[in-house]
Amino acid sequence: METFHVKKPIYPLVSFLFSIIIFAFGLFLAKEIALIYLFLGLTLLYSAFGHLKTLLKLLPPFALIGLLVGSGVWLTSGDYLPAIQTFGRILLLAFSSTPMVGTPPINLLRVFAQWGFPKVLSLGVLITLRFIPLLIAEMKQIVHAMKTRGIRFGVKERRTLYRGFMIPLLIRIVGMSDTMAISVETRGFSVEEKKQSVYRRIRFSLRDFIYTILTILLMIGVLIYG
Amino acid sequence: MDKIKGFAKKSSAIELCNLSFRFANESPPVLKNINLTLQYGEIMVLGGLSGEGKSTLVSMISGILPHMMGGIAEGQVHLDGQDVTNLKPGERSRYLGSVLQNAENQIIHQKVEDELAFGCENRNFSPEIIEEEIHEKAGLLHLNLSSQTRKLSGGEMQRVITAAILCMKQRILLFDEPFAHLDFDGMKTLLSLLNRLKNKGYAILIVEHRIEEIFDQVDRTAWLEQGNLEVFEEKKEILKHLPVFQTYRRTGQFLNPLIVFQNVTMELDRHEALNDVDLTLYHGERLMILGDNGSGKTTLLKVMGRLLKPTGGRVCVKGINEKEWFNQVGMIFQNPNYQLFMPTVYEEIALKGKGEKLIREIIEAFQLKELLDRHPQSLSEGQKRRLTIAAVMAMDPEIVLLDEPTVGQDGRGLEMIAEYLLKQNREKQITIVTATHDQRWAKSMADRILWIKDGSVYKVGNAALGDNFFRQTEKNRE
Repeated sequence: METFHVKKPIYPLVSFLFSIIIFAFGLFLAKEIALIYLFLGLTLLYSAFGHLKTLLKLLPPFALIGLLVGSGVWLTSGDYLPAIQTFGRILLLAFSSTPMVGTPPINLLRVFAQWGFPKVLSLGVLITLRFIPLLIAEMKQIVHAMKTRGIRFGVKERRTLYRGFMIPLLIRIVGMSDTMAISVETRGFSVEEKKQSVYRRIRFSLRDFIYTILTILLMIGVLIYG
Repeated sequence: MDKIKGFAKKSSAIELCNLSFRFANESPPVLKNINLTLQYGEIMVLGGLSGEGKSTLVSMISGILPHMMGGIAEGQVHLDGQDVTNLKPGERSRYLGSVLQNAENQIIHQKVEDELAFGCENRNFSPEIIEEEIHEKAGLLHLNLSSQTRKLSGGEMQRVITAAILCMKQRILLFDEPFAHLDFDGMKTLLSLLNRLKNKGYAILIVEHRIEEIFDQVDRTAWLEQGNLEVFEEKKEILKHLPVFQTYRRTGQFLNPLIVFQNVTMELDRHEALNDVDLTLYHGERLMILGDNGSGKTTLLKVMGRLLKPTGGRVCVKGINEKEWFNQVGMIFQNPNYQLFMPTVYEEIALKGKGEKLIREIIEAFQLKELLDRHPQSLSEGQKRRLTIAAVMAMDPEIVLLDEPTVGQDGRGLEMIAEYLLKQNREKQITIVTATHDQRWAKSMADRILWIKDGSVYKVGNAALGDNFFRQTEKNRE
């Protein structure tokens, strides 16, 4: 996930809020040519605010999924227009999530703490965000481990394959979530405890204000001229 | 204790009164009437065989058992004179810092700096104190605060978790195998740090298998066996429980190349994990890979075992059928949990076992007879590792690659494994490659030493080079 992070992230709550707003706004425009203007505008905005690399890393997988789903829609409906619209909606996911994905989760957690959000929310974000990359790494390790026990990925050994992959994966998931919960708790994190300091405070800057204004202006512009 | 400068306490740091534990009503007790007192200004080491309940005791003190993981507990736990029996781990963390096993799964944040700050933030320290603490502890444990935690080696992760706990400034510290993944230098650094903390009045309880290596630095010792705790009057009494580890050195030349590395490089996450490695592994030899944490030992083993394809250079293999590679090359991971998946210990060994005779021989040699019907995941970490090695050896491999085989292993278990591997090496000429930080294993199980530094071959030599390695790392520290 670190590969998506930007050097100067936007204020986390602004990123979070605009990710949702842009997605909803884009869905509203999904059948209009204006969606393309929104994409172009966002690309320029992200370039200006150092998020272009994140967008470019996000686009290929989403474009691929969009192509696959879009092709399916084309085949079932026999019309290319709904297929293009589906493709656009899936690309919208990449565009709308860019500022959020570019923000290190620790910034979001610290803002939650600064604003006094319930700790259970922070705990959820914390464990989910840590869990995904950990799980991917675990799956790679299990595949390696299977090879070392002489198990091949083949139809003949499908029962052993099931045991060799699924059992360790399930056990690891349970084990990891237990260990992580224990780790968090033994380091003093408690949902009941309200007092918590913030090591590096995240402040709303002029840059964040300009970003907010420009995003709003972009959406208004797309609505008027699109 | 009152003489300790800056920290005078009347109450004991840890006091356990008639502590017993069982996982369920019908299951046998894991701990039986444990009584233990640890004073401020003391370091105590707790030893015992694998699976005898050491980690259970640690979990009882930190409150993980029974509050988070269930089970039936009796007796009382006092920390700093307070009865904390009914307090959850989060509440106990006001008194107690716990460094548990499996550091890699305990890391939550992406940057070392944030990981170290996490506990301090939870304890409501001011940003200035957090800054001071994390810089001090990172410096002491040789950590780079801007490093990405995901890219760290096992030993480096262990140091991060240790530093994260030390930053929280509790006066009672609990360590469950803190040296397991640390290199020699890391171990000595941590030991010296713990001694400084002890002199400041901290109480420290360490669960460890490598007792010989830390013996001089501890004040008291205790031994846990079959759920009973024996706290020794004289600390040296623990030594009677530790087997004398034999040295199996030999001289001789190995002539038949098995695997040849030519200018091998390996890039992982834009980091050069291996750099221009030239190496020949010979049939029948015992090669020991030594190096600091993060020097590339595990990566080298994985390239050797064909789990990773090098990004540069060539690896040539002689005399092993490529299709049969994973049946002839056995690899033991640092973490045994990945390699165990069958419903019973017997089925695990028999899965790829070559014949009932060999399977029986291995069960006997690794003393697994009592555990045959158990689920592999229900075993202790040390027992799991023994089982993984047994299951791989049942494949009758030509090459065995071992990554930190001694972690979680008591002295007897270690000797058992060493004896079996050496017998196979003598009788069947199997090739053994080990990456380890364990001085006992390194000194005893090597024909040749490969010393790697920052992903490159630094020195190659006979077993005496191992002595130099450990001497030099100690000297560097001094």
